[in-house]
Formats: sequence, structure tokens, C-alpha cells
Amino acid sequence: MGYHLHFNEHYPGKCEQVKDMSLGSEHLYTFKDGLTFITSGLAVQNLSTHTKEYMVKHNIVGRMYLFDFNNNKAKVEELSIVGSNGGFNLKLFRPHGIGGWLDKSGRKLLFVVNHEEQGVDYIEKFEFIPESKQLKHIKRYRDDTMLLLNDVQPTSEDSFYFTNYGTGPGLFMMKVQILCQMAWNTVVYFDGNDYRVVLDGMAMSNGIAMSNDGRYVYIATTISHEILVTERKPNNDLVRKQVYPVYSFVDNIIVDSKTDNLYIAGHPIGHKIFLHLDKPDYRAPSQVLMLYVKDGNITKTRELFYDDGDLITGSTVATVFNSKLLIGTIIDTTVLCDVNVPL
Amino acid sequence: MLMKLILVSLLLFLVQHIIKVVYLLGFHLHYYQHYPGYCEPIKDMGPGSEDFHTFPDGLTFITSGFAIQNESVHKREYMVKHNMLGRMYLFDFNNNKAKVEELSIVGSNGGFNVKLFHPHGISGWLDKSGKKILFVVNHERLGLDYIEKFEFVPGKKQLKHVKRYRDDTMLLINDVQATSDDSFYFTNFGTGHNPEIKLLQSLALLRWTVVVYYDGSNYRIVLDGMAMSNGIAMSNDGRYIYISNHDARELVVAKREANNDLIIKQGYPLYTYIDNIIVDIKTDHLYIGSHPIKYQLARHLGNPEVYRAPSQVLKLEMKDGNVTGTKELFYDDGDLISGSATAIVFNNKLLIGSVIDKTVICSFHVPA
Repeated sequence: MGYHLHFNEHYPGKCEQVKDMSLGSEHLYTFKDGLTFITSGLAVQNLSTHTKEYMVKHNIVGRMYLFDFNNNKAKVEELSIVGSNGGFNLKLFRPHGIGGWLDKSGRKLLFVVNHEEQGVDYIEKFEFIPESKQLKHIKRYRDDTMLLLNDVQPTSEDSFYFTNYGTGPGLFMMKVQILCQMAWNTVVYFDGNDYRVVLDGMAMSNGIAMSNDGRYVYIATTISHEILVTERKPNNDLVRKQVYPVYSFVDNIIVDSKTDNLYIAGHPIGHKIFLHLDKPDYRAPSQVLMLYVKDGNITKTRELFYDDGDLITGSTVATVFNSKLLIGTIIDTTVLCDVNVPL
Repeated sequence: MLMKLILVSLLLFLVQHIIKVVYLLGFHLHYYQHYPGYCEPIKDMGPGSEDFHTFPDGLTFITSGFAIQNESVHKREYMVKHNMLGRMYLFDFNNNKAKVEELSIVGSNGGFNVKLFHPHGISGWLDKSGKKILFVVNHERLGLDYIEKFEFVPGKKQLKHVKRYRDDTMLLINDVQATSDDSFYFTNFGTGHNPEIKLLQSLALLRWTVVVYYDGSNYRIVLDGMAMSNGIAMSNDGRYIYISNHDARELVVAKREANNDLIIKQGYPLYTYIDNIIVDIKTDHLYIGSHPIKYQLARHLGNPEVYRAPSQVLKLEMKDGNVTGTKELFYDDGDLISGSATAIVFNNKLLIGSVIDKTVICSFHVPA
């Protein structure tokens, strides 16, 4: 729970909050051209009353934002979402994890985890229409292996890995899982036709990402404070290669498109993040780490950012592009920093 | 029945104390490395840069070759192997290089012998004629602790020994803070040279160390009950004295009375074993070198050839003698620099000194 832990703040450069944006930016995906798609308005099916009131008070609904690293500004644009394939209803859209894919014709495809309000979990596929700054809904994926989805990592335009971070939407079992540190969670692969469990025995598999060459899949296991490096077999099975301890409740992973290093956001002090999830007014610290990877092995760690929670609370995802660090949170502000330190 | 009760109580007390000590040693702690810019070690320098003083013109005087009387065998071997002697170095922030010059030390007032010189804490003073005066703590080899006063002779890059101070209140001196060209505060970090007693004090979490003031004629204790007073520094206006209470992991801010007595104003917990304090000449903020993981520091000081210890630099923001915020400027696991003791940011560069390891200079690119 970390009651005894104390850390000090430090920043890689000047930091500012992104303006005119709703609270929450749980995950993001940056394409090689710097266009970044951010999911906002995370809400699982069983939220605390405080959180529900907080969302109403701050007008937090499911949204998708576009951030462009090529502009030098801390601003985003809200994307309009159209389409209703397979019963997709924008009003019930609550996005969580996201994975991007460039198809052969250069179209940007986005796979987004959706905790449909008062419904079940889906993975939604969108196409980005640059001219109208629009996300067009194309396909909806659903299977019984989708217990409590967290993140998705596409491997083609119609196949992907996804992580479950619970065994179902029930709050009680989630609490049991966390307190007893049970390793109940699974990673599932969809190959275009079938869904199958490719990895299990994880204590809260959270973020999932793939190396640039497609050989390794990285998974953050939050409760066991580790980053799992797995090797991808020809049949898409995953085999554990390295278990790297991170001593923090790690959330999402982003792979740097040039260097293959990992950017990881996490929650360093347990009791604070749990309090924040229950009562979003409560501040929790934010932490961004960079993990250096060589031949699929994590070799060392650097801490890029630490804030006590006043600037940004509950960081879940981070990426560095063009010497700027963008940090997203569960249900708080989004921050952009200059990166003036050597990486 | 009563005997049983007493014995059980004593046993429980002992058990909780042991648990506390094990916890404080920090086996369970994990921190991450981060640097404010590009960092490099300074070449051609003997091991150690335990303390330094930077004058407003950027000239910095560094003490090197820390050794107290009665050290471990490993430490002594390490000193021989690395030719570690008591030395004084000059670093100039105006040059853009990671280099120092060794200062020659002359003079022998009061029996001062440069061959037996082992400097520790240092404090600088600019006298009325602009001469740079340096007060340096000296753990004289096979002898006692003294505070030596030197004058810097710029033309010859020389330190001329001017005066030697000695008193029975100098039990195991750590750092000194000058208040004029002939008065100062100093901290004791033990009650004597016996290493077993010092270890016992540390483990028993006793608060026996004292801060002493010399007013030009007399020495007197102005603060006691410190768990291990270590670094000492004075605010730019002379109103506050900052002391690092090392074993209590806190910064003590004391108000200076008209008669130079010290009254504790604030005890700010830092959860790390802080060493020396430097006050920024312009902003009054504090730069502190510290040791975040105690058992690694202890291991490193006992056997520096084998063990590394993490290094950490903190910056404390001050307002009217109160600490208002903390920032961590630097953290290294010990591979680049082990056992950071002192640090300063000057001219967008961060200089970090260690107890008995390298000295590092970093370019400073983060918001300060």
C-alpha cells in the first residue's frame, strides 16, 4: 500500500497542462507522423458513487482527442465519432485502451477498448478520416474471453492481442484480487477468426504493447509491479522471456518507434491511487519511467517525471516524441513537458 | 509476575527497536535514476570531495581525502591503493571544463602539518578587503580534530595556513559555518573518535550530538539533542542556520538570536540521510547532497572498493526560513557517483561532491 514511501518531485523540463480538454486521457497512440489519438472518459461498469458524481459534475463522457506533436502547443482537438456497426452507440461509449495500425494503403486504424455503459466490453475498430477530423466506426469485436478489458495491441488490420485486468465487472472480486494479489488475469489473441488465451497467471495484466519488429510483446502487470517481456511464437502464442521488477503500480506501455525503448507510466504509492479511484478529488502521485531495451531484454530504467499529484494525478500513459513528453491520466489533467535531459 | 511483565516489556521494546532500525536501513527501498542534463566525472582528482564552498565569483574550494581516526582496514587499503591524501582543490565555474586544480598548502601555525591533514567540512568568508578566507575541519591523522583557517593567495593558487582552532568541545567535527573572519558555528557528528561507541549511538538512535559556537574568545554549545548533526549552513541574511540532522533524516531550521544562540524553528522531514547544505547566493534556496539508502552508504564507507552507494541531490525552496517545497535534481544508483555529500547549482551547472568517490559535473537543463 506504500504508506511508508516518500519520493521527490522532478521534471525533465518545463511542464504545462493541456487546455480545453475534458478530464481523463487513460491511453494514447502516436503514429510515426506525430498524430496522437487519446481516449478520454474512462468508466467501468461498476463505479463508486463519488466517481459517478464527479463525472457528471465535470461533464466527463467518452471522447476521443487528437494531439499533434508537430504543433508546438499544449492543445487537442476533439474528434467526431460516426457510425454504428454492430450496434455501436456513441452515447454509451466509454473508451479505455487503444492500439493503432497503419493499413497497406496508409489509412490510420484504431482499435479501442469500450466499456459500454450498462453493457459489456467490446473492442471497436475505427478509421481516421483526416479531412473531417473524424473517426468512422467500422467493426465491433465481442467474445466471452473479454472479461474486463484493459488494453489492445493490433497485429494486423483484423487481429490483435488484448489484456483482461479483472475476471469480470464485479467490484467485490476485483477487491479480492487486489488485496490477495491473485494472479488471475489473461492475455487473449484474436487471429481474425478465433479468440484464444495465450498467457495467464498474471496479477492484473494492464498495458500491452509490441516491439517495432513484432518479435516481442510487453505486458505491464500492475499488482505484481512488473513488466513482462514475452516472445511471440509463429502461431502468435506468447512465451515469457523476462520479468522486470518496477516497484510501482505500472499501467500502460508505449514503445518508442525509433529506439524500441519503453515509456511507462505508473502509480508509485498504492494507497493513494486507490483512494483517488474511489474519490477523484483525492490527489495521487504520477510517475513516468523509461526502460532501455536491447534484444528484447530490459537493461535499465530512468525516471523521467515525478509529481506529487498537484500538477497531474494518477498518470496512466506517457510518450516522448520530438523532445516533448505527453502524459495521460485516468480521470485528471493531461500534461505536456519539454524534455531537456539526455535520454 | 512483575518480573515477567518487566522482561516481556523490555523484550517487546527491543523487538520494535530492531524492526525500526532494519526499516531505517532501507533494504526495501527502490528509487530510479534521473539526471538534469549531461553528467560527467571530473578527471585527475583524488577520491572524495566531501564538502565545498563556492564564492559569488564562481571559485569553488573542495575538500578531498576524507578520513577520520580509527577507520576500517578496507578503507585504509582503499586510501593507499588510490593514493588518497588530504587535499584541497579549486574548481572554477567560469571555465566550461570538468577539471580542477590542486591547491598547494603552506604554513604551519600552531603545529599544523599538511602531511597529517585530512579535511572534512568547509566554510568560506570574504573579509572586508575581499580576501577569501576558508575554515576547514581537519581530522589530524593519529591526532585530534581542529578547525584550520586558510587564506587564498590567488596569484600562486595557494592556501596559506593562518590560524588553528582547538577546544574540548570539538569531539568529532563534521562541518563549520563562518559568521565572521574569526567566529563560527560547527557541528559534531559523534561524541568522540571511538568507532564502536559511534556505531552504538547510531543503532540505538540516540541524540547526543551538539552544535557549538565560537565567538572569537569562547566556545559554547548552542544546540544539543541532535541525532547526528552533519552539514551546517547560514542563510544569506544571517538570520537562519540550517543543520542537517542526518540520523533523524530531517533538516533543522534554527533562528539565530542576537547572542548567537540557536532556537529551532522548523524540523522538516526528508526521508533520506542528508549530508551537506549549500545556500544559493541569489535565491536563498538550499542544495542538499544526501544518501537515500542507509545500509548501502554504510557498506560503501566500510568497503569502498567493492560497494557502491546511491547519490541524491535535493533542492529545498525556502520562504522566510520555512521550507515550502522539495525537488529532486539528481539520482544515481552509485555507478556514476557513490555517496553524494554536497551539491550546488551555479551558472546552469550542477556540481556534486561525494564522501570518498568521484566528483561529477552536470549541465542543468531542468526547471530549477
